[in-house]
Amino acid sequence: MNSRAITTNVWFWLSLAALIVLGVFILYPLINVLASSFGAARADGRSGWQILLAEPKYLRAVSNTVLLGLVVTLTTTLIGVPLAYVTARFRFPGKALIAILPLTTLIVPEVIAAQTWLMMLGNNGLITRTLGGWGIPVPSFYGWSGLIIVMTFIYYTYIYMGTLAAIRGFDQQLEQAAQSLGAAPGRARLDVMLPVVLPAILASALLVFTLVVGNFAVATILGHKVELLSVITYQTFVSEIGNDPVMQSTLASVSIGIVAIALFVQRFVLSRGRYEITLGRGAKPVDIKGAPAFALAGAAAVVVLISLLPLASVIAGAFTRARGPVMRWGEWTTANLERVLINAPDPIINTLIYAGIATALSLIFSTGVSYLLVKKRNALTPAIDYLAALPLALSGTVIGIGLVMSFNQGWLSLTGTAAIIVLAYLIRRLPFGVRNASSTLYNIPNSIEEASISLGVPPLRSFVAVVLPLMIPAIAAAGVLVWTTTVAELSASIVVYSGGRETLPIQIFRLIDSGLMAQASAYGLVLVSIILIPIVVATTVFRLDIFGAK
Amino acid sequence: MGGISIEDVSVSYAGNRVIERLSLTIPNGSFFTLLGPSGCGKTTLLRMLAGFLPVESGRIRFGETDVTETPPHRRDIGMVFQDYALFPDKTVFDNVAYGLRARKRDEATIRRKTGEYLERVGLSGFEARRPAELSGGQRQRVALARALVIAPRLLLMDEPLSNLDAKLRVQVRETIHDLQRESAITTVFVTHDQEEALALSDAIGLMRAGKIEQMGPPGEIYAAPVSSYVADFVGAANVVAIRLAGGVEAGGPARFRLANQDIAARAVSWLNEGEAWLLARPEDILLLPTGSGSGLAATILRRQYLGSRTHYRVRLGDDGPVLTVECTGADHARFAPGESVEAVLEPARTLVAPR
Ligand SMILES: Nc1ncnc2c1ncn2[C@@H]1O[C@H](COP(=O)(O)OP(=O)(O)O)[C@@H](O)[C@H]1O
Ligand SMILES: [Mg+2]
Repeated sequence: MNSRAITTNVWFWLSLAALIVLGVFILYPLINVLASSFGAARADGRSGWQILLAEPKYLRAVSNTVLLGLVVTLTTTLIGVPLAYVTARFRFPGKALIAILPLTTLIVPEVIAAQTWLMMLGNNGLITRTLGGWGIPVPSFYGWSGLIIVMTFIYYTYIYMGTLAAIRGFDQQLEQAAQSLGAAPGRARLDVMLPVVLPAILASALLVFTLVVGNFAVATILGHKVELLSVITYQTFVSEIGNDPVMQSTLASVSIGIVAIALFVQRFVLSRGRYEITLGRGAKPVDIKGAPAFALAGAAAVVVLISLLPLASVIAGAFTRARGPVMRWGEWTTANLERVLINAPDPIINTLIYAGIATALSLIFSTGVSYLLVKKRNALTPAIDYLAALPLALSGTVIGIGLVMSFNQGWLSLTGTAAIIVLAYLIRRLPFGVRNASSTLYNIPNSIEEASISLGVPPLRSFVAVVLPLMIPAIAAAGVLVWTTTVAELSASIVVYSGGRETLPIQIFRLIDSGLMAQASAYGLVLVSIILIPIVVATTVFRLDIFGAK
Repeated sequence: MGGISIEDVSVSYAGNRVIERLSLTIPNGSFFTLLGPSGCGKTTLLRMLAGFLPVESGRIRFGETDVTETPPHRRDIGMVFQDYALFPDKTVFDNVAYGLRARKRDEATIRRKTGEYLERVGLSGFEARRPAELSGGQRQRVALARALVIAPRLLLMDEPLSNLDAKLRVQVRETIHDLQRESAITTVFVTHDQEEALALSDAIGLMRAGKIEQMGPPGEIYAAPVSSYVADFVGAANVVAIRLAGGVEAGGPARFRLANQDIAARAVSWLNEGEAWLLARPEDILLLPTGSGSGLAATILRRQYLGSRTHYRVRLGDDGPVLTVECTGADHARFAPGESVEAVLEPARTLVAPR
């Protein structure tokens, strides 16, 4: 074989290696899950699907999950879209407050959001008891109301950010053109702006729907008597473990199916209209004053304050004295923090180690895969592209179950090791890492690399010398985001972890389950700090544009 | 040494043949231009010379050395790109010094050579700037210095001027011309702009759909195009459909009738009887007042006064073809629309090409 063939082939072999890794760790577990749902249960020989159709409990879980997904998608859209429009088009007092919105979703992990809402509005919650003391009855926060409220306030920022980006890119001239053609302003907005912004809204709505369907933390903590797919899947997994993985696979397959259908519907809706994003100059925000300004500022402030409530409660909770499950509000102490930092720091150490390794590996792997995807395309590229995006459609619970089923024994036995936790982290964050690195690479012209090669520097050294330095800021920004989302990961890690390897979210989840809110808050405060410190350092010291990377 | 030679080379993208059994030789030290419309395969040929594209069949030789299998970083080439391709995070100095560092020259040599080439492109004093702080013309000069400072065996340029505005284009074009003549580095230059090609080249290879249609010095390409395609692409040409009564050998006089009048012209190649093209450049047609007796009867349809010259649209005979004629010299705007004139097509400079 001649030397040219070898140099071109190096990239092919690397692509093949990437494809094999993705196949083993993403496709193989997925196939395992789907396949064993058709296997026969040992108890009565029925397949998972026969059991599913026969048991009302399972069918209720499916319909509840879809219903919850639809309702929360609707409520988040109703909050997120107007908020985005108002921020993009108007200036009003206190608007800067809204700028911190994206931050709130990032720094408050779902498990902490659920916990803090409980501390306020649960049966023993601060607000419930205060109001109760005044004779005002507060309806139970468990079940539908809690699920909808908490998920709405966790997820509306996704719609807000997606819509905001689209509106900002929308050329106001288009709108004016429609008006000049005789359409009324309201009409003009609907006619011209909606088709342009709609794809962005639909994309973020689909994301929210997927997240709600896959949500584990809030669903488990607040669901109570409302049966939900993710909760039942996890419970089935815990009880079936080692026995008969039929029902857990079936339920996991159902949630995969729901997301697949939602994806399909989104594609279908988008393909019916010719939606093209016209990127133009965004409109300048208009000043508004007087009563409408106050109304807007007030409404925005309420949304932001509610978003920040969990943060305030976790700080308060961490420093509040507790006797067992009973919080003594108003009595301050540092005992909770001392306990988690000095007596039981294991979850903190575990989190730092696992997430640290996962973040580093994730950046290296996704940079490499993106390079192959963008700059060295070959016959394997579409398959790699597809597999790397696949985890987007899989909930953490599904990924966790797939990993446990696939690497429990045999040639690669990972159950009980830290490696399977790191692996779960890696898989969950892969699509984000690859998307981020790819978009950076697309912006670096091939000619820069070729210039270096033509000057006598071999291809790999050229990449390191001239391409990598240009990617560093984006990689660093992505690193911070991967870190913040990884340390908060619960739904996959709780499936794959083993005793002694609790991470912070797992430990917090268990403490909430036992009603030990003060200690959960203390761990929660540590977790929020672990998330917040890198963000603050990156944005202030290194001036990284973290949210541009998202 | 025998210069750069491409021997019977074919290139395909995913089964789609883009370069078809192409051969050409570029003498050492010469400035060779690949000229042709967008999509004809110029970039493909250039990237193949650089080694970024593998050839399907055929050989490439730099002098005695067969480089067909040599990877690009070992071909000893310099490249200049349309989008400059400067390293944005490196200073002007570090950009130019990059190739010398890759060649492990000592620091004193690097300093001296880099300084020398920056001076040659007129950018002394810009060493510490970054590409973003330069104008387009300055960026392309840096790119030129970066490619030339390593004294490559072959310099490759892919439309290096097309991102510049008209005035800068001429300036940078002159810099390229001077530097190439001084250094005598064998150069392949790609462009779709015939003026650039004519101004810079020792030889032009005019490409059409993956093949070289005609190769030769600029004067030859311009004055003796081998086909209507070449005549039309290089400079303006009137291309008129005619019928030959019999075959003509290459260079021989072809006689035919046009607008009911007899005309003679030179055959660019062996011509069969039947359909052919008449080629005449606007500046090679002479207009005379009616009654001079030496030309074809014609009528002025439109006049465009352009200062140093005038363009006319002229109809031959009563219902013959319409030609563009360029008149210069004293009184070049003397004919008015509607006026009857005589058009002289000089036999030596009027060509007939196969259809
Ligand atoms: N990477 C590619 N993959 C497939 N076809 C290509 C690729 N690059 C160029 N082509 C095709 O090859 C032909 C020649 O392209 P190119 O060499 O870029 O032409 P030019 O530089 O003369 O404009 C065109 O038809 C173009 O569409
Ligand atoms: Mg080209």
